[in-house]
Amino acid sequence: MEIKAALTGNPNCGKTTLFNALTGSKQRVGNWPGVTVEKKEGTYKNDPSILIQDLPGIYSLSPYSLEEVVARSYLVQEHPDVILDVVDTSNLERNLYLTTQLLELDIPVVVGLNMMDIVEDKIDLKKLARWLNAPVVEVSALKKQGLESLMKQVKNESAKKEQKPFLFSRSIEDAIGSIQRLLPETKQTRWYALKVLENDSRILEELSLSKTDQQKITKLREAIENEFDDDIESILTAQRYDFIEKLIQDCVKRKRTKHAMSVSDRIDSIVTNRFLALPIFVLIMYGIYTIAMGSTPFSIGTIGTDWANDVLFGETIPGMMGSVIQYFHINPILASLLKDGIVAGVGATLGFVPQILVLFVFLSILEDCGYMARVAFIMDRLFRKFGLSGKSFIPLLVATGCGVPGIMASRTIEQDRDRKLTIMTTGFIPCGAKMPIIGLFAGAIFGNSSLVATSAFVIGIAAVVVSGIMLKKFKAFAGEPAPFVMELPAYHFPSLSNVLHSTWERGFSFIKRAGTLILLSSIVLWFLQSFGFVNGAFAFVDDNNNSLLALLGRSLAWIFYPLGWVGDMAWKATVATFTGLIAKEEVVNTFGVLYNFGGELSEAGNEIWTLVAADFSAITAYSFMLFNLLCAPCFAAMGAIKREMNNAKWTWISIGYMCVFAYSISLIVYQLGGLLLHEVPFNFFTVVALVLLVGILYLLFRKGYSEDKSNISVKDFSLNKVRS
Amino acid sequence: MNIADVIVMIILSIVVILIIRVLKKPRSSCHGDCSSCGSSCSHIDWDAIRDDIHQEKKSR
Repeated sequence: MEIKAALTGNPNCGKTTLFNALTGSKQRVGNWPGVTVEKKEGTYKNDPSILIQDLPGIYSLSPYSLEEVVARSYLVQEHPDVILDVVDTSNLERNLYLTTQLLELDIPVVVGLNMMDIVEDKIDLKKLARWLNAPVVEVSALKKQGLESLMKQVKNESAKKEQKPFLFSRSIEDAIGSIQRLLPETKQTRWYALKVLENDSRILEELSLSKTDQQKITKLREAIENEFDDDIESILTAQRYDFIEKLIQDCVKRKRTKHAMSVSDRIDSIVTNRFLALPIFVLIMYGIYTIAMGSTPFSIGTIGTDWANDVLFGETIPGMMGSVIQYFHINPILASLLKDGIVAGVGATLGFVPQILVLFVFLSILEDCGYMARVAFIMDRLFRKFGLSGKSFIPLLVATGCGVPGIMASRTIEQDRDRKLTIMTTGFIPCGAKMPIIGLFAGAIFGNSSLVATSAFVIGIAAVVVSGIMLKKFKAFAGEPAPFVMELPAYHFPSLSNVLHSTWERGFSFIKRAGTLILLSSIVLWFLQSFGFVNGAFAFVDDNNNSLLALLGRSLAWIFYPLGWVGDMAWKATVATFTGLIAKEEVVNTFGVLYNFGGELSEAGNEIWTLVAADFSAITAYSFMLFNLLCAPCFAAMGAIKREMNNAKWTWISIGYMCVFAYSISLIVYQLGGLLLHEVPFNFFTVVALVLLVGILYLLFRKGYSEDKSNISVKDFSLNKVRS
Repeated sequence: MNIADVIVMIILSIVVILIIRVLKKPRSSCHGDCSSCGSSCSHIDWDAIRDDIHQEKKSR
């Protein structure tokens, strides 16, 4: 018989970590709240009859946020067989508040005390279980300890079908009993009675009580409010916390627990300092990009990529391929497909795996130790100055791995205008797939300078801020940002398994794409660049400037003339940009195929970078890189935008905005930057760039839309008063 | 064209077919790789929930 168990608990208490440990799943785990946005299902790996639902983290069953509505709806409507309440032991008081509410659902509850290893207090589990009328099991989701005894309790409790609730004071219990007698007989009558007593409008609407019953309930409520001299919600909350206080006094022997928090507080006093926070964040990102993509002896990412590009995909594999081709006398056209298409294209992309893995390792470390949660807090302070909320920053943090989950993470933003704004700007953050573009140009043209990657990240954030300021001044987006309340997890040493798991999850996605989509695209690109019309006949071409691909590229290259894409490189850059819509790694794959065409195998290794450097000047390269980083995202991300916007007009507005913004910025950088560096002469497009710059500045500093609330006349006011 | 060419073409065709099958395979449950998923994991009407919360806040 199948047992349905729901995993509930506060945000960041370890539910998803526990879910992954129990089911063997690979759900995304993040050390900031809001990572799990929907319920996820899995079966317990040691007993497939137990179905586990991972729910978003909630602080209470009062639905003031989307995650709370989702979790509550599941618990009340789907009525699982058991609730597995994960409690963060380092924050017992706050976590147990939800537990007291869960006990009222009349569904058996099993309490899992998580993170016991970081708490120095002694907790009497038996006493705690007696207070809660529910079994309490010590677990460590991270270390996978206590899981079997936890699930054994889950199985035992599922047979019970009911749960003793937490009891309020006499008068409140009498009122609950009276209300229960007025309600239809259901499984959770007590819970419904409590919600009715709390005047929960959603529940009242659902129950459609008669006027007489409603009046009786109102009298009961008023009697309690008069007795305790407070509103009903505060009274019930206070009684729950009183209960929790007594429970903790009886069950918990406090040791000096401040140690862990005080270390966190001391670190936070520096990293979240009003003046130091942002510079520290930029410095940390610079450090990470230096190690991943820089040119120092410590830049292990670059060392790995250099080996992959120069040795593995530059000599070893092409050498082996060449030997096989020679030995078996493979047809020259097929040989070209294998060498210049597949190996060159896929190799160019896979060559950046070392840099990407190193980058993801460090981002995972930052995430797991608790620093990334601080970044959301730091950015909230900055964002709020410009009318945005820190809650909008969490999707941007998620987007550093991949834009698709970043866009999906925006669904928990309650205000529609802020959500639209977040979706429109998430694509500006350099995701994992854009890293090879940065790596290629940083390596080929900028001497592996880590400033390239750091500047790309900073420009991404700047693009979000600038867009936020500009768009907030339009009526569609105007308004105060939503308040942002977030729990900062205590700092702890990152877990090796979490870091490796997270790194592998993102890295494998990249490698899988290289082996599937990129490989397919390499074949198509090779075909288009190897064949063309020569003297009116369709044939294999010697020079890819005469190919079908060149023809297609040249038909569109004129669009990018103002950005400095001229000459033979123009059609190549255009083709690469358009193939980047399939997946951003395609840009590098395309260059790999195009620049390797007809190339001799060289003992020195991969010559693609040299050829790219010959075609792109520094300013053109930076302009190209910026355009591809800021413009419309890949098709997968566009699909996510379409689903989240749920509106064709706004989908096209988002994509159009990103393209126009990217084009404008690239034009300004190329024309004005080139003028300053004496690489680009003054021309018509310099004027266009200046006009665009002035336009952006105007949109930034103009007075925005605001509702005129001063037009209500005294006459209107007095008339309304009479009516009410 | 010799036998080696034929073998290479067959291998390439099999690889292409396998890749297309992998890309088109419908996902029944979340596998953690959002970029190749199509967010088929989304089963909730978020707009309805947002409207609900706005109504709740207005009534309070």
